Amino acid sequence: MDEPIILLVEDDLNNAALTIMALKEARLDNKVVVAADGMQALELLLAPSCPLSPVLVLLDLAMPRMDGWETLRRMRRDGRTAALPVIVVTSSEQEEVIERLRALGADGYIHKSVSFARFTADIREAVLPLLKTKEGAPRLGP
Amino acid sequence: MAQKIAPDSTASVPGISEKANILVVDDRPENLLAMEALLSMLGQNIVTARSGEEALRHVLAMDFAVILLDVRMPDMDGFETAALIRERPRSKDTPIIFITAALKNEDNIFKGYAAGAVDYIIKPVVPDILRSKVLIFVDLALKNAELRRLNERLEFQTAALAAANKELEAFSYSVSHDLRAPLRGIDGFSSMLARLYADKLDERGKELLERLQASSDKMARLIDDLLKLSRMSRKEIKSESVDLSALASSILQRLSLGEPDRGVKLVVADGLAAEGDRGLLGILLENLLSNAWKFTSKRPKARIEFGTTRRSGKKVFFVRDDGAGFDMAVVGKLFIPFQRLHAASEFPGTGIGLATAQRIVARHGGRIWAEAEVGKGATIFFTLQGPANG
Repeated sequence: MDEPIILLVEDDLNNAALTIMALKEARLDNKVVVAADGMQALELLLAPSCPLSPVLVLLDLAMPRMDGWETLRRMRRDGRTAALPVIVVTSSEQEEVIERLRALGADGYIHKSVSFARFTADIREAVLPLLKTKEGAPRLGP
Repeated sequence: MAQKIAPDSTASVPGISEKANILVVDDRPENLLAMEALLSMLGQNIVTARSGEEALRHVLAMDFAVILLDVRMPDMDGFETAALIRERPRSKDTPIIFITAALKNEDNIFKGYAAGAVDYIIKPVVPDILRSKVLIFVDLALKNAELRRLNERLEFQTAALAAANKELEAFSYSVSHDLRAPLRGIDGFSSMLARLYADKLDERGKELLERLQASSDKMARLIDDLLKLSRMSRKEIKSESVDLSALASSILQRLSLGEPDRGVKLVVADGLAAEGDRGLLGILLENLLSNAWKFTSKRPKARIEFGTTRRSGKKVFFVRDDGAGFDMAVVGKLFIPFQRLHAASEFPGTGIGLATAQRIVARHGGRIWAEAEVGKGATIFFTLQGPANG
């Protein structure tokens, strides 16, 4: 059976490549679909025929056309995507940003560390528990 | 030989070049002349007025150390004049000495004025009494002027310092922030190059790639930490009561879970609390305790303690370990960003932990310092200001 799909919403190609590599490095062998901005992500998720049904969305915040904030708001308003796990990936590390994202319904948050080793560790820590619960396996941690 | 003249030969006048202004108000020119002669030896600037109206004009134009006011004057008498002087914001606190012929019912009127700012002298005027009373107010005015000047300078310097600090913070933030994206690529892609293509390189090529990767990894961590440090200084403090004992226990528990095989005795005093920013105080304890954890890693059995003690009557928190310690001769480098007292091969890290701790303590109006001995361990002390933190 195919590994479930992760939808990565990221406008910067370098960043997208780094996130994909970090997922591989963290031994998450999911197929990754990349959307260039929020608009494209919603088109994929809410397509009338054959909508993409990923197991998880990794969402950048600063993007042209539609940013991560608006994408998250619209996803949470639509019944088809309201329960879909979303992890925000951003260079911001401010507490108020994290709090606002949580209030909007984000399930997790990953800082775009400059250090690839740290970024990989953070991706693993944030993504793994969400995928496990999705598959019905026990949640990680204490 | 020329005699050297000090700008202020009288001991009672503070060491500044400025003169105080004295206003003398009397309707009779011969009285004004006499008063001027009496006061001239004080070396101050004497201004005369022949009526209440003229006095008010002067009072509007300049500040006086003291006003000598004749009570009996035609048109507007001394009390009326004083009342009008008091109405003007600039002169509402200027001391007034009434010159009066006799005290009849007038002492009641004097009492109506603000205490301390009003005095009186009965005619005939005794020169020494007049001079000593005037001198008190002159002294006061000169000292106040000096104080104001010092305050203004201090305010100016404080503002300049704050502006410079802010600029520096903004600079370091934007430098490290703009360096992020390209460096992120270098670190990430070199990692992947090493991972995916190492087998296509000979030994020399592999070694070069390893060095490239080690360098970029180090720089990436430095930039991450620099950004964190810069954010620490800009973050707004939200003060609340924080249970430091609980915070420390959970951090130590997490450290133990990460390395369950280590034999470290953890001692956390009960009931330690402080007023402060929960997030920042958490980072503070995280840095201090993980340092203690790191620097005791070479010992089979170690001890880490978080507690309080008192130093000159003030509550002082401390984190103590019996690990590697350091030489007190280099303690000055301890809280400087990216300064490390140990080889990276011995104890890893970028050298930002204590610099961060220092900023957090400073943002809470406290102080942080260390005592240590090589091979015996280190203690980091810190205070936090605030009503509940004494």
